[in-house]
Amino acid sequence: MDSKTKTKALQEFTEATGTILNPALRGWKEGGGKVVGYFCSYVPEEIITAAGFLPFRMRATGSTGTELADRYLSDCNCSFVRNCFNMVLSGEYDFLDGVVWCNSCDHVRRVHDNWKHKVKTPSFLHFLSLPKKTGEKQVRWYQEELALFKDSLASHFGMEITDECLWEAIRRHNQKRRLQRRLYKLRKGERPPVTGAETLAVMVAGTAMPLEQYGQLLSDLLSELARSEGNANYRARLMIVGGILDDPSYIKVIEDQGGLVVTDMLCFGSKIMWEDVDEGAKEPLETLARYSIKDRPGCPRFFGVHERRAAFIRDMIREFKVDGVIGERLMFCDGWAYEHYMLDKDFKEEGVPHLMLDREYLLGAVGQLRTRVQAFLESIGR
Amino acid sequence: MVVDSKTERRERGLRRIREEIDWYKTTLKELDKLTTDETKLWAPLMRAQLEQYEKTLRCVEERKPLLASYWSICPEVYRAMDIHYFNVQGHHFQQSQARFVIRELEECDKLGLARDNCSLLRLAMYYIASGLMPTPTMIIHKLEPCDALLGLHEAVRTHKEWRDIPHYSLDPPYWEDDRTLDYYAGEVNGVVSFLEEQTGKKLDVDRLREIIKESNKQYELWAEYNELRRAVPCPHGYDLSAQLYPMVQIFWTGDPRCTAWLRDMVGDAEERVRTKKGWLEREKVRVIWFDVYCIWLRDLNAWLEQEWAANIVMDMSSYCPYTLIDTSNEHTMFKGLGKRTLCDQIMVRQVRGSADRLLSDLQRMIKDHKADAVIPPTHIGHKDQIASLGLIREVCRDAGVACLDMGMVDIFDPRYTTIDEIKDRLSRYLITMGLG
Repeated sequence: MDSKTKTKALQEFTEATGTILNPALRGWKEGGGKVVGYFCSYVPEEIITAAGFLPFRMRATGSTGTELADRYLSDCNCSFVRNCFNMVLSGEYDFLDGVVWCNSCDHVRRVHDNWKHKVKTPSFLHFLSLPKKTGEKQVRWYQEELALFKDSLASHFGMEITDECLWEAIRRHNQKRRLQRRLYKLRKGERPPVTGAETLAVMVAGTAMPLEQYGQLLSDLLSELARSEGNANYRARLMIVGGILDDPSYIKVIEDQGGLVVTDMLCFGSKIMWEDVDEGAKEPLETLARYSIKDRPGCPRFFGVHERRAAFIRDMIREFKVDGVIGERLMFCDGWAYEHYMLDKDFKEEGVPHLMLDREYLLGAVGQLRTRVQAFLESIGR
Repeated sequence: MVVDSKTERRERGLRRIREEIDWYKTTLKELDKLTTDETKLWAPLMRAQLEQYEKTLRCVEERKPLLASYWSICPEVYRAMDIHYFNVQGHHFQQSQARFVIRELEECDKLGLARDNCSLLRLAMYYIASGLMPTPTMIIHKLEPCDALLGLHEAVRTHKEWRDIPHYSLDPPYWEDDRTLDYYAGEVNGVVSFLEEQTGKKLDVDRLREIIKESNKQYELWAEYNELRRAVPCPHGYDLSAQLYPMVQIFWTGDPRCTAWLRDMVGDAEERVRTKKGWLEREKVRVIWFDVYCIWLRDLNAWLEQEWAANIVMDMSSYCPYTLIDTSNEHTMFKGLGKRTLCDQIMVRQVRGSADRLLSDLQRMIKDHKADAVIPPTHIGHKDQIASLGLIREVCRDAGVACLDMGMVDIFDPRYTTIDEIKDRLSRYLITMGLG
């Protein structure tokens, strides 16, 4: 299933998502720009932008194997980190000027250790201790962590990152979020002008391109989509819930069976833009910390917020007129294992049709995926 | 897995405890008939475990406050406030339960929890869901050392039978610096506030000081005992040495009876070292088990001893170079408790933050305990540790010690890799390395 609009903007987003060193990123580097990779959306892009650098969300798009990484990681580690670290070891991330982590999960946390011990570049590596509770005390702790990160980044690259720079970066990233939410809003109608796979391409590109360029392209896309008649040729409206899904072709397989993905709660989706960072707060780092800990929809690596996540999903189901929910989980992800266990109970209680899929990072077992989605669509009478 | 009523659920939760009590009573009776040095050392351990179950039973029967807690929290505080607790992770992992494990793992598979998750935690969830675990009156969680444990806590907190039980959680940061310790001392303080609120009891700081002083003695003796295990041949077998951790941190924390038992352990080990009387008649292989105690390790250990003259001289649970706590004032005590529970205790020490601590501990274990072989069992549930396997292998290689990567093993689910397969892998490894 494709949207009827085939725009240049959509093509550029798809291209940026389908590779690591995309043309926009290459252009940025050739112009002397610096790129800082980060491993989880709880690392605020705003601080990297405030330094004048391009934040790049780490992926393993285009990976062809894990031979090098398998020396260090195990088969029981998630295939995202294995493929990603393999790309690092094979030099495909040599363009990075720095990398930042937080303790988002056990697998990613250990990539930092392996990187530190086995990869000599880049020289700027930073780790953020992200709390697991979501109270005011944790906001203060994370604010201090962000201050240490900001100082370390500034000191390493010999610059100053002022509050003005941070506020400006917050405004620019909020502008990006607003544009992304407009894209999602277009999908609420009976005839969404954009598919779930295309939307994911737009969202992933937003973590891999210079902000201005991305914003301009997205504005262009929104204008074109506003004129599109949309797509009514689908069997059911679906929501996808899960973690680090960055491959639009996975959603395309689902949509090719007739299930249009109209919304999501994904790490590259609504979770990173459904709320703005508060621009009215006193301190830029305080508002960034609060955004990560309290304001945005939290993921299962936080304790005590399952109900909030479940309510977020319920609201999405209602707003986007969702017929069924597909939960996806990378094999060996413990956080999402428990989350899906709890969501399954919630969905059963509330009568929400729900399909749970375990997957590997690289798209595979497509036949099985097709069959399960077909069966799911049939089971919900579509 | 249908639980009909609160009464039925309550009874179900107690049934296993009663069976456990019977098992320990019978075993103790048998043990008391024997009078060897070894059985004298085992008896207090059995008594401590029996006492633990009897207290849990009494709390439920008499509707007294009962705390559900986990490993590596603050048993000193619980004891100082005279609050009984049971370990949610360990409850289903006891002696008399062993015969149920396979059946319960099969039932547990039906829960819908991903099977690549740690079976110990899946089983805990199953026990709660099926009513086999006693229902506590309050819960204290710790959000480390692994993602799965946090997930379990969240699932427990939201489970329909447990969701109304008051709870408190400790949030351990990634670092170990002074700022971290101050933050974490605040988390430990939160434990006290929570318990005071739930029980109406007030923490007596002097009582806490006494408990900590006693537990300091226990940690000193534990360290001394570990030093004696460096001797070649090693004075005790692994089965016995692995009991220091539950005795000090679960059953008899800050209890003088535990201190006395530790003195006996040290005394016995010292005497054996002095007379060069090793646990094994002819110790040939000194093994480091680089993980925690697991459900089939007693069997495997016996086989290692008998077939290969191999002694597990150190493991992750036992190797915790504890820092003693400064009891001079309340601030130092809470900071010390924070440090103990954040940087010293089992798993949280090695797998919470950076891998540097894990690797340096391994380096020291190999050197201090003169290891010939390192076995990281590559437990499917320990994702962070298996993500350090390459680094672990390099530490072993640099130390000139063979490291066996067992592949994928579930240390709590014997169906995953059978004990026979594990023995087979170990045999081939020991022969290949010339240790047979």
